[in-house]
Amino acid sequence: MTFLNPLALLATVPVLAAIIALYLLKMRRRELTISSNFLWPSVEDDIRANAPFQKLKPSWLLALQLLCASLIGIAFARPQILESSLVGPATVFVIDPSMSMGATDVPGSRLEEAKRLVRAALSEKKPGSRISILAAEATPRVASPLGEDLAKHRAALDSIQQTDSQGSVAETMQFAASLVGKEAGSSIVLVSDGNYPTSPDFAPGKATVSYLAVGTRGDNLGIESLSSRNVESQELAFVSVRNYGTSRKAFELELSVDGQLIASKSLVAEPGALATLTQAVPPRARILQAAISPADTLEADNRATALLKSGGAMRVLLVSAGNIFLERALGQDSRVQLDRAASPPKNLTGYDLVVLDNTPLDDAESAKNVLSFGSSSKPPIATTGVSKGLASYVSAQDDSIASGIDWASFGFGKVAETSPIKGAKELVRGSSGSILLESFTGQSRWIHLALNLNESEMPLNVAFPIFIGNVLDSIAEQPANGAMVVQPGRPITVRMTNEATLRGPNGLNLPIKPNQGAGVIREIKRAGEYSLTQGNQTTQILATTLGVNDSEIMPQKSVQLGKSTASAASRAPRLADQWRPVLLICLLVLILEWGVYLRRS
Amino acid sequence: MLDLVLDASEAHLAERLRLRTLKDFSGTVRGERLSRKKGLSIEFSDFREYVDGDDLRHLDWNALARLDQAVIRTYQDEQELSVYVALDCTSSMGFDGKLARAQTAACFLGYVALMGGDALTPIRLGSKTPPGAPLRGRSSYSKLARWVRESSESGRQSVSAALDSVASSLKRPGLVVMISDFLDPQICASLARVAGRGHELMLVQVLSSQELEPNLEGDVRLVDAENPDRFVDTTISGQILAEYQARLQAHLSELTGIATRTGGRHLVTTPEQPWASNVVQQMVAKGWLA
Repeated sequence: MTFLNPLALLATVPVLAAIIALYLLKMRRRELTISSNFLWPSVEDDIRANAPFQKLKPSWLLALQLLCASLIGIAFARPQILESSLVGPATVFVIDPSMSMGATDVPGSRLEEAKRLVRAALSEKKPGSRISILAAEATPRVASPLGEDLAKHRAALDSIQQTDSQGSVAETMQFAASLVGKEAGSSIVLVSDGNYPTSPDFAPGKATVSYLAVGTRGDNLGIESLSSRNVESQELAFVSVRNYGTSRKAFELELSVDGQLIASKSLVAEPGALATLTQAVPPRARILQAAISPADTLEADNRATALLKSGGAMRVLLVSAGNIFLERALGQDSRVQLDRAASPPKNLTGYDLVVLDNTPLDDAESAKNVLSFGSSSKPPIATTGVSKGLASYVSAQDDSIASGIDWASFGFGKVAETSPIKGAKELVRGSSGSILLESFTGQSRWIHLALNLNESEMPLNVAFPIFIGNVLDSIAEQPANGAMVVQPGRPITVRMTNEATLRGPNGLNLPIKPNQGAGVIREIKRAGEYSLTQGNQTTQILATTLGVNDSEIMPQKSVQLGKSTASAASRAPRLADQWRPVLLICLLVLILEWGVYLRRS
Repeated sequence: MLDLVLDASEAHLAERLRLRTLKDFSGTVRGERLSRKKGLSIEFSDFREYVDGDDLRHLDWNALARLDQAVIRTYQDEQELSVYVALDCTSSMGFDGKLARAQTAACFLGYVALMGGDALTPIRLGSKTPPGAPLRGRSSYSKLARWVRESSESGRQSVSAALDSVASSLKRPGLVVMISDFLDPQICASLARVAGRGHELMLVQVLSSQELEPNLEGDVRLVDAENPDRFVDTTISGQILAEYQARLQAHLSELTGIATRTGGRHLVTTPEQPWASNVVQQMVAKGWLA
């Protein structure tokens, strides 16, 4: 047994001394002379005292009170014993429902096995223990908040569904640490196969972290890439399949365009190696689909979908030191194939759009389209400084880039100031000058938003994805209609004016309501074919696992959690707080002491 | 003199009563009390055949003339009863008017004895004064009254020790009327020793209302009046009072038991009870007085 707060034991000593000192006092009694006192019973122990001093006499009351004070001292010292139960005073279960957890190497799936493990752990819950269940879906989700209601926890466990996304284990673990990290004796239990991007910044605080591994083997074939390229006026499709297992695998690869099978080929992939296929596709084709057979442990990555170049896809380069708002907004658009860079590369010819986040571009004419934010020290839009006060909206031009946005609904913050630029078109004006500018330099088109995204309220407003969509629409050769390819788990924003209906696999039928000209769809969690119907117009939404990067399904024996490593254990030993049972015993002693007191008083 | 101890009505009542004993006592002095022993009196007892040496004055001449048989008439003997009135004058009697009630009882019962022609020996328990000569006749009442008036609580001796010290001086077996609170753990043993000398015990126990139903509270040290070094520390509670009552009842039962076993009687009274109309009536009802 160890004590979390051993100083409390020292603090008990003066309390015990004070109790003993009270028993050194004696009772000062009123003296009465009576005819005879032999009929009167005497009291053996005084239960009160009001005068000093007497010799200490053995007393049950004294013994019980000393025992009671000692137990309270021990309880305050927070005694702990090592036990193997998963459930402690405060326990957060983090369940990984990512794509790899859909592997069927255990009965049902790894996610079902994880839920079974947690369900068994819930049955060990002790009275007073608080539990929370978090789902590491594409974004962390609190399935059940910290509480003692087992029925709610079980219902929350049932609500966790398989997703074909990469999940968000690292973020969810950090969230769990923020929930219970300040509580001594708390614990975080990660139930996963260990295949997720680690976070070096994870700090569990006072919580102990356990890792319950699920899964037995790692054999899996997965489509790693599917794309097209125009080579010598012919559109070619490229497919690569990786063997994530440890043995050589033979498989069939089928390639379809707009639903029509155009190729089927037997391939062999060595362990850890790629097997590729290049195939010419018909002109004007829009949707490219690949599938491998036979079925293996993980089915989700056996199919992939991509829009052909001719179908409206565009390559976008984000040059930023790290801006989650831009990454999300660009990633939500199905047409975008996003690349990231900390500084602009020399060759920008392959990109349809270069997005500059507070970054200058040496050669303004090397990119076809540029979208810049904040300050820039180089032409064509060179900023002169930052506004002294907070800028506010003044006016906006009727332009497709600025349309659909209520520019007065959010604060601009401090904005970059620009001097008048010849030939530039001012689309939005603020109190400190131009907010949104569009200019053409040679073959380059330049759109500049003077807001600093880290200071403005715009990224938190629905106006931001609409603005990004406006920019992409203005650049794309054809607007995004007819078909979209998305990653499961990622919310997508669709421009809509009326309520739409989302239909998908397993009878999914959901109304999507517009908000300020856009609708956000978060319900696409599995790979497959969905449709969004607005009036008489239907948009095909194809959810694919391409880019999910969760096909490595070998269960990990240990996981890196911040600076420490947690090994897989079915029941990780943990220090369990014992102050509650100690206080319970103390209460019983108090009742006994009260009984003795009443008997003598 | 009378008014200081008994009022006129009490004295008048006492004159009409006589002490009744349960035992037969033989006196050395001829008195007014009939004895079971055959003797000389005017009270006819029986006939028996004449034997040589019988007093011819008691020969029944009528029976001789009619039956031609010599028959002697026998008569009951009239003897004097020794009555010892032992008044407890120890310190325990100095509470709540107990001594005054005991003085009244001693004077009344002593006067009854004098009026009945008995030899009355008043004894102060707790006093070093030895018992005096027996008092006889109505004329001795003034001495009895003076003795009663001069009796005050003084001794720190326990009543059992006081009784033991005077027991040997009670030469003639007789009726011992003991008036006390009997609050002494050794009193029963002392009474048994007195009864063992052939005396009949008539125990009049005077207890105050405070002793029968204590009205104490709080944390107290109860000091014994007869022995200040002996004290009891207690905290008055329902449980303590209940235990006191149990002990008191056991003590009273033991007193009644010792009195009954030795052919005596026991009566409990309080200073507040009317003497003539209540206590004396109880004594009459129980056959103590007739």
